[in-house]
Amino acid sequence: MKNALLPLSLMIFISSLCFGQGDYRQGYIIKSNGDSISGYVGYRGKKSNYKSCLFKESKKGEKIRYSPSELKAYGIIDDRRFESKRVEIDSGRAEMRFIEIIIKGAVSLYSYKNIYFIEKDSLVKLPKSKSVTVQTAQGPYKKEDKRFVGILNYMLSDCNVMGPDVKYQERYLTGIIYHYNQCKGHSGIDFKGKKPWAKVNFQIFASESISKLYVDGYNKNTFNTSYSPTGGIGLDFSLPRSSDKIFFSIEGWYVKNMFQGYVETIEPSRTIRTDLFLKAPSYKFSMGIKYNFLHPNLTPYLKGGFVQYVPLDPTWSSVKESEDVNGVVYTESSSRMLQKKLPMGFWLGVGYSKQIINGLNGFIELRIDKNNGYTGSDVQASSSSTNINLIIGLRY
Amino acid sequence: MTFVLFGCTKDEITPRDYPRIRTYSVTEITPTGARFNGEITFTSVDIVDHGFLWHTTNSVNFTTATKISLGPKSDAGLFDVLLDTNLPFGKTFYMRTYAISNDNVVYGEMVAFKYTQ
Repeated sequence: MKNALLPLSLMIFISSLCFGQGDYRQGYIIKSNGDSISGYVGYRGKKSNYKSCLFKESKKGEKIRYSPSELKAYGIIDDRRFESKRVEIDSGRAEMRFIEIIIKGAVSLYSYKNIYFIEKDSLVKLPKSKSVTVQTAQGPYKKEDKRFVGILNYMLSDCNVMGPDVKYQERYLTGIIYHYNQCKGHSGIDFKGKKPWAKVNFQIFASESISKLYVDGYNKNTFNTSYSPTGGIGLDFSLPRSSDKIFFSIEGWYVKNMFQGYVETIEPSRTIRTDLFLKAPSYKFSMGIKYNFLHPNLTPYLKGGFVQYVPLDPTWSSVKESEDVNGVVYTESSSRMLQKKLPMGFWLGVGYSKQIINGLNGFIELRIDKNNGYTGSDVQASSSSTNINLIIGLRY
Repeated sequence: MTFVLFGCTKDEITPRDYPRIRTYSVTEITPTGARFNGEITFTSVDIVDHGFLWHTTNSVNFTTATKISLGPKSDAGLFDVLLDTNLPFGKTFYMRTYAISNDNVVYGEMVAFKYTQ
């Protein structure tokens, strides 16, 4: 606890090592001459996947970078597939790029960043939906530029698949193209079809919490380091079709914080020794983002976000002993409820998750959180606390 | 998880050169008496005497108060005694524990009590 930066530095160091290794998943490349090679494809941020393909023939093989002009297509099994296409994005100049194919069929749907293309006989860019201001006699008003709906209506007119509210989003466009292809006799290939649009993972965990309290007006070493068992439950939300690396995480904890301190004051006629106790059993709510470095089945991860404590009847108590020069000791004690305050702060964690059985992962995590502590009539203006947690848990 | 939810975190008793003593609330208050409760929470020395002092005013010391001596004690622990005396309705009394070692006299906190029902 003396140096909270040490575990933090360790977290960042481990994370950077993991990040450096890269995430390679089973996949394939199709060369310009049509040769197909199985191997491992770098699962990176989509931005990087659009630019180039990182490929290894074996897990420990040499990494080769391919540009769009060198490959016809590449893909990750049951996941993303990219095809090399000459497209015009916004420069007014058509360039060879890898664009992600979402559905392949009588009509195919592609995406590049947040721009979508459909292909029937040729590849057509769907202009982005945007809000435009139109000047009228009654004054300016805003309307949606939905030219993409017109293009879709025209290209898909031989089947009645367009609903009343078409949005410029992958989920809506995928549905339309899927139904069109079904209408044409074959629903096409949905490359990410095995992946849900949204997913929730439940988790349960226990932890040892190592906490240090700092209170204004007291020496920083007044309060001892507190060790207490904690635990909780949590949810991780993700959009696997976009990425299975990024999660929005929310957790509820029960924390039995108990801080103890000691103050000694020496006066000419007496010595006063005071034991201080701050008991603050609390619910703790953490919200944040989790990033998996590798495939969810076996991955180091980094998490961070905000934390909010809700103390349950926090109490501040003291036992004061005053010893006079004759060796007579008088004991006084006091106890009072603290004015309720909701300590807030931030947290950062690094962990490792491993699949135990299908769908069930175990994880271990080291986390640090700093918050602005508990205040009350005795604790005065402000306080802060730093907590280090070693967490073990299960995620389903 | 069970350990987490029901596990106990206890105050740590810090050591002293003299016995540490606490006075707890008076219980079993009746017109004919009451039970005094106390605890030696820490000692590293022999206690030559310990017990309770009680009085009708809040000046509770060896000069003014009535002493209930429980004698020597060599280690920490709870102790109690049943006071056998008439307690007039509504009258407030004051009580505190004490412990005596060779070098120190230690008074516990003072608590008030009265018979009200």
